[in-house]
Amino acid sequence: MRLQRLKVEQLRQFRAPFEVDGIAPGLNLFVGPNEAGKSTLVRAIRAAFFERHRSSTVEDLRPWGDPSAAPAVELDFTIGDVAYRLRKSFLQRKRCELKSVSRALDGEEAEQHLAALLGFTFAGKGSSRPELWGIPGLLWIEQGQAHELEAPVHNATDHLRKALEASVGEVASTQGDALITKVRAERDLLLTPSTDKPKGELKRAIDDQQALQAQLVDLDARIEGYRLQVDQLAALKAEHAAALAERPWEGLRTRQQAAEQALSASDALLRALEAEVSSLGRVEQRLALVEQQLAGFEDARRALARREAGVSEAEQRLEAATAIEDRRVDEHAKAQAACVVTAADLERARQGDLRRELALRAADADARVRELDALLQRAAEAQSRIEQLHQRAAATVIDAVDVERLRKLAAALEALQLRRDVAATRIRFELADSAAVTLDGEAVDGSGERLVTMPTTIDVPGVGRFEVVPGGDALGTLARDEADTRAAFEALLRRCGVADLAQAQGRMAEHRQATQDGLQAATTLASLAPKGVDALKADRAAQIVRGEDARARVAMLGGDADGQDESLPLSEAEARHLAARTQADTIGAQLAEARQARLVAREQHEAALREREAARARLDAPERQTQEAEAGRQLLASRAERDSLRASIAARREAVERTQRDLLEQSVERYRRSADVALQGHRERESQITRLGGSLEEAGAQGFEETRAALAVRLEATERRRRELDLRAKALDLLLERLEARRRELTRRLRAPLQSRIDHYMRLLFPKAALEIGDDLLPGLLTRPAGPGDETGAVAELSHGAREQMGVLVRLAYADLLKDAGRPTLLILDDALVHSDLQRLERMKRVLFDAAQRHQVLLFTCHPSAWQDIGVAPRAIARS
Amino acid sequence: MPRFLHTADWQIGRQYVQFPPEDGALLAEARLEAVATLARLATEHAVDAVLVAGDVFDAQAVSARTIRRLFAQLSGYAGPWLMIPGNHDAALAESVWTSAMRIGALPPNVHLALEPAVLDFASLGFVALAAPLTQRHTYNDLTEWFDAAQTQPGLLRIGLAHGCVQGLLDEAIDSPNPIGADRARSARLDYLALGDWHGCRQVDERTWYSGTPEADRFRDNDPGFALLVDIEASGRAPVVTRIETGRFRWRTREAVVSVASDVERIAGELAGVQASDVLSLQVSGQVDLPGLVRLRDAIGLAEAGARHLQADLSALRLVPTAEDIAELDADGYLGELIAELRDAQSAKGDAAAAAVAAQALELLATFLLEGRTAVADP
Repeated sequence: MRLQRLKVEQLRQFRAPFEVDGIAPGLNLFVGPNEAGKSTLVRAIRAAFFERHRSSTVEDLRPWGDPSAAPAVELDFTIGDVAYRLRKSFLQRKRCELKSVSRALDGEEAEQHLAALLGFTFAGKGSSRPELWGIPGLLWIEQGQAHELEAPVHNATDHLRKALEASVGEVASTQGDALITKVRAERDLLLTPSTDKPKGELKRAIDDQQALQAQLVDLDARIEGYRLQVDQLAALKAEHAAALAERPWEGLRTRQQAAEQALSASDALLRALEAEVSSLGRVEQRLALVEQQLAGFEDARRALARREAGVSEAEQRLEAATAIEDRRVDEHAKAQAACVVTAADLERARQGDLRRELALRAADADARVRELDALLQRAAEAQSRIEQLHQRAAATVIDAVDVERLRKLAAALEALQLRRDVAATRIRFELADSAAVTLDGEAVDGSGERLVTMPTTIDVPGVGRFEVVPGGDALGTLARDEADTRAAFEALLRRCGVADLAQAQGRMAEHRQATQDGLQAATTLASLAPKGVDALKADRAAQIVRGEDARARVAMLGGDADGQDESLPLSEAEARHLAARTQADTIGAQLAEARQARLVAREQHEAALREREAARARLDAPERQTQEAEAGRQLLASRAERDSLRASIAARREAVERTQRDLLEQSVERYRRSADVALQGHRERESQITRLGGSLEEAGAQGFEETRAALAVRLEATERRRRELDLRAKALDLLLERLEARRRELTRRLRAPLQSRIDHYMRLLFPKAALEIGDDLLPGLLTRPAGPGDETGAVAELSHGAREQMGVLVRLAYADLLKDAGRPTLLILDDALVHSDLQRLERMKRVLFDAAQRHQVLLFTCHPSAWQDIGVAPRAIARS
Repeated sequence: MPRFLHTADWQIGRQYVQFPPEDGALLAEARLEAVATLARLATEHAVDAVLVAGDVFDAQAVSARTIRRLFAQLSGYAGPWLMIPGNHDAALAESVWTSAMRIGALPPNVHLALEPAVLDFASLGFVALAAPLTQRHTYNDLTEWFDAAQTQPGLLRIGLAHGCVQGLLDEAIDSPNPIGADRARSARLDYLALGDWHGCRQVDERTWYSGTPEADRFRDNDPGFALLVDIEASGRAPVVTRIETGRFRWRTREAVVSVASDVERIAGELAGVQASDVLSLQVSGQVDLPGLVRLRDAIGLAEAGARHLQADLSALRLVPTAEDIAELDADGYLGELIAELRDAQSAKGDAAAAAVAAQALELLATFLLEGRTAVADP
């Protein structure tokens, strides 16, 4: 196919007619900036072919704001040797004309012819859709869509197959694809597409069938039940009739009555037996009474004998008790006498003892008095010494403070004298023996030394007088101090009444000694008479009284207080008396006991005597004889009666046993129950018949079997429908599967030639790479050298630019195949390959150039510089 | 000269499972109409009594409405209707008869024998010995007592029984409800009216099955009649006339197609169907595409004309010829697929798979034919 001329008018921005003429058979490069109208031209070509001229959905073709526009496209092209002119206008003027040398077509017819020529399909309604674009949809690459390959190839597959059948030498099917669509649609009405599960009519038929089947089963069960009941009713009626004829319960009643009669005879027998048994009981009771009475009489006799024995025994016991008592009386008197003797001994012993005690007390009192006298003597001595010492202490009393002051004053004087001596003028002299020198009038001789502090006159006989006046004021002061101190000292001495310090100190020591001795003497006194001397005196007086008192009491006691005592020692006397009294008490107790025993024995004896009398009286009662005789007689009579009754009872018992009462009772019960059961069964059957009849009547009125028949009709119809639909579904499934398998097979056969063309272009693009075409006629895996080995990957995973290149390449391969098949090919690339880098673009130019040797290629671009080396002059698109 | 109308096997309440419900309902209705026809005929021919030899009802538990509707059909004949229960409506303890009596549906002129009995119609010159079925099935000959039954001399002895005459029908061997083959003679009957066999059939000079008055199955055994029985006098052979009562003719047709003209022959037959036809057509063999189309068209037309046409083409295999394939534009792999399916449908072994293949082939052909006549929007 070769496009020669293109003219647009009233179409988008081309409001005025715009024409591109002289389009070359090979490569054509159309350049222009954005908005220049490149894409509009591409759209115009597409519209001319794909859009129905009658379509009202091509509003996009209308120039802006021009409601009266009739967008028109005019194309001159040749296919093979045939030249065509296609004129198509839309919207306001809906026309389509296709003219060739041989024929002029128009409208619908023209469009169908066009579609067949190029291999695409028109839309039934509305604007054209990519699915319908077929071969041109593949070869005419829209802006930026070069990388998209799958959808265009899929949309073109059917047309490709048809178009390529000659080249692949296979017979494709003209109706195959329409048929597959149809079969699939039909199949999918009955089966789910993926899981083959029934759906739609088929599912309804299956559901209906199952529902009806269930209903039928249910109904059958009820009918079966109904029939069983009918049979049951018949059986019951037969049994009922038989029972009415036989009346078995009556026979049973008769037998029951016979058994009852036998039983009542047996009852009479039993009652007689029971009467005799009760008589026997009474007789035996009476017999026991009589025997008891006789035993009573015998007992009375034996009791009297026992009483006699009791009396004699009591007598013996009384005598023994009396003897014991007498002996005890005697013994008691003796013990009492012994006790009196020991009591007197004890009294004597006590008096002796007292006397000795009093004597001892008097002696003691005397000794005490003597002792106290000595003490009093010594106490008086101590008293007088104390008084002496007190007097001495009072005589030597001196104030210790004064003594201390004296001592200090004396010391001060001495110190002052010493200092005066030092300061005093020393007058040493060594006088010849002859010299009578006086010093202050005092004669001196020999050698010596005088200290003078006062002006001293030395008179040397012979010489005159010297007066020595000690120098310095100190000596004067010292002399005054000394004088003052001496005055104080001497004043104090006078006050104290002593001559000098030593005397004062001696007096003080003496006073201290006296005071101390006084204290010691007081201590001695205190030890002698702690409570004082008066207490000692009082004590002495008391002891004197005590001693006299004791002597007075001894005197009163008589006897000689100091004389010999014949009495026993008190302790022994006391022991003896205690023993004697204990003996007397013991015997006294024994006596009381014996007396008591005798009293008891006497009482018992009297009781025994009384009992014996009573027993004797009973035995001797006058009516007793007759009573005993009567009892003896009754005993015999009762025994005879008892024996006769026993024999009779045994006989009757045997007779009763012979009647087998329990069996008779069982028989009665058995016949009675049997009759009841028979009658009950009969009545029950009657009511069962009524009940069953009613139930069947009700069931029959529902017309089960008729309903069942109607249901069976519906079930059969449903089953038939289900079988038909099932078969249809299976057949459609089979058909679809077979058709698709065959189409796949055909597609597969198209692959080889396509692969060879792809290989051709791949050599130009990637010399060592291989692009594999799959059964779906789409590029699958790309293998190319990388590093040490090859790398393989899916085309879909390549970069956008690479996919774009592959997309163009595959389309070129398809174009080659179509060309070989004698089909028209026209390639349009609207700004394709914009994502390719320079190196790849270079190679793609090679590829495109090569393709352009066989096909017309229209290349639209807004990058003219990129395509400078494509080998054709660019044509600028510019609106007039 | 007593005259009877002998009928049996009305099978009221029967439903037709094999038909679409609407056709079935019409056929069921026809059974009631047949009874009305019998009543009309009885009146027309002035018979003395109608003998109904069992199976009046098809089932025991039928609705009260159905019971009432049946007895309403009898109003066309005022004379006595003698009825015995058959195996379908046996006189059980509880039966369609007890239901009918309970609802008071039985007209007074119906003489129903629910147990073996001699029905005395001395005023009409005959007695009827009735042998009703009181169980669904019995293996005793219920007519045996006829032999010993004493009746007033001079009156016709008419037997009524329902069952299989022994030794007569192959199917009757060991079948329940047997009837002695020689009963009419041994019991000195003037006529023995039998029911159970749905076709009209003579057993001996005095013994007949009347068959059902309205056909109810495709078995070709002459149904759709009642018998008019004239007996001049006791001991004389009865004169039996068949009277057509059926409204619908039930027919089966089994055809084998082997050559193209066979289809034409069948189509010709189908063209002749009438509104009273209930037809079962089974076609087997092989047919080419035009033949199948022709046959389908003919069946379509006949379905419209007949009461019911039941066509079974499952045994017929479509075998498209090369011309067929060309004609269908079945080029390329479609042609191959047709050949594949054609072989698969006649493959031995898996019958189900073959049926699926046959159906697939037919569908394929149908779609292609449709595609040829209509422009499909792909």
